[in-house]
Amino acid sequence: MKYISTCLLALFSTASMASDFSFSGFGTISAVKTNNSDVEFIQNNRLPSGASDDWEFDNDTVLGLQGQYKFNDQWSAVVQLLSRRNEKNNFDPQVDWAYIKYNPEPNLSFRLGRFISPVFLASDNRNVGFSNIWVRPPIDIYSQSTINNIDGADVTYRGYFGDFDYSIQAYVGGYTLDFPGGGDIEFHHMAGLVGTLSYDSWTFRLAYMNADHSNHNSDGVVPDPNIFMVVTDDGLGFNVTPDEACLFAENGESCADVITNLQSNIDYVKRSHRPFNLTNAAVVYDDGEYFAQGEFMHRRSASALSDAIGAYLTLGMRLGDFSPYVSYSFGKTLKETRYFELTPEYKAAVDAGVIAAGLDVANDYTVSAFNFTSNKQNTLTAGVRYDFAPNMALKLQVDKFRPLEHDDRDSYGNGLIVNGPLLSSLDRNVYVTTVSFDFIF
Amino acid sequence: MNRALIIIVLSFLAIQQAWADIVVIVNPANQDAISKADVRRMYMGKTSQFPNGSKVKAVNYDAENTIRHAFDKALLKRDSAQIQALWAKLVFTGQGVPPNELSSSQEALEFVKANPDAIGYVSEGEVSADVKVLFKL
Repeated sequence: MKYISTCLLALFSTASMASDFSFSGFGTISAVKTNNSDVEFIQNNRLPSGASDDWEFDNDTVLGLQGQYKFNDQWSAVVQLLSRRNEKNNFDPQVDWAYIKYNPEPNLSFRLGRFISPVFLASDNRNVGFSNIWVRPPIDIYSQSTINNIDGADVTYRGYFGDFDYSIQAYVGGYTLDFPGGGDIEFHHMAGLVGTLSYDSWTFRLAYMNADHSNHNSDGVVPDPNIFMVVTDDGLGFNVTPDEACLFAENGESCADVITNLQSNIDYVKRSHRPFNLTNAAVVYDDGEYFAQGEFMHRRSASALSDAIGAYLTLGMRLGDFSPYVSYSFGKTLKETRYFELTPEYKAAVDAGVIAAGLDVANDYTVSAFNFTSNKQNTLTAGVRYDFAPNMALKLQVDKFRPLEHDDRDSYGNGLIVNGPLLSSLDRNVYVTTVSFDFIF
Repeated sequence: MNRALIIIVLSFLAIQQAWADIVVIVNPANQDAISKADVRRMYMGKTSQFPNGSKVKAVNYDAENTIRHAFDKALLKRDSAQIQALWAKLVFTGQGVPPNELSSSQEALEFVKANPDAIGYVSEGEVSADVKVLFKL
């Protein structure tokens, strides 16, 4: 609190000194409830707890304050403080944007500092509820990558030819995202390209980010995963640890001795310097009366964090101050299959062991599906935005989340957003109702 | 009944009038060839310069002003609420600063008269000889 007041004081004292200072802000107050007392809805996976069947006000609620100072036509600086419930379950403000910008010419800009990695269409403005039609960007996509900030540099060029407007942005940097319970995901490097083209009512956007990530536990280390080897055709098997004795192996032989690619499988699963590459394509149509917006994303994370895809399509229209909309989205992980290579002697020994137990030997010995994350869900959304004043909007949105079975792991389908019992096996949808009030000043 | 109808028709005409009436103005010193598409870009945050490369100082009216609603609808093809949402996105992602908001056409005329790089808009009937009319909406 002392921190924010110092910052604000600094901002305001600057404001009184110069007319090239501008101060603005935005916020959202939302009330969220589900139809199920066993389920907690969280709007992103950094929230330690969520909304149940009582109205809760801390899911989307956010306040942002921005100070912007223009030194001259070339140089400017922006600081934005954001207060929203975080992984530590408090609202301590965080510096969400803080950069210096250099415009050698009006169409070309360089930034250095902290900004948002623009991996998806609405990444940049996901916290500014007033600027979006929904109460929150569709989580089937946006929770596949909770990436928010990046500390680094970028360059943007924008221009037009004929009736086409375009912009190209390239960025590099890194960031560490903290999660509830003390763990984090460190993005060692992030490098991305974003291209946007708009013509008349249409906007097209392509984005790609190449990144490396490590998932540290609360002790700051990436633990070695417990790798499970499946050896029967109905999914039975055992743990294989490199320096420990391996089931069915000769005395004195460790798993590393008899499984020749054990280490490479461990290195694959272990989330230490693994990829986090995001590809995103978006199309927007908005003629002022009708609008449609769709996005597709693919995540290449090749590790215990499985690759994933997600997409949504939103359709809406404007009736005076009211904008009703409907949306469909889905998100799912892609199945990973990794094989073990065994020495012939060991393979024969395990096969014999399986047969002796009266079981059927698997065609291939694989890394268990349980070594990889798995989720699958789809969502139907209906809502209406009401622009009742120039700087304020009210929204009502109802989402029907459907957590689905996935990869034959029917007891593990929990979807992306729900803390609670295993849902897919109950074959039950989760309805989430949100009322939000968005404002800017 | 008839009277009510007449009032409705008259107010409809008045709205029509307000729409047809807006002229986009620049400083008389500005000799650049500026199209409607250029002005649209300026008021939607897609450019901050004139076609000749010089920096734009655009002025607008506060969001309650009816001439602004008419301008947003006629040139930008959007409701003012949509333009507000667009600028909220641009401002809070550091992509631009919206045009200065003035409260009267008198202020707009003064500003455009005083600044060679200014652009603004007023009702056609209010244009003075101190500014140059680019086009009528």
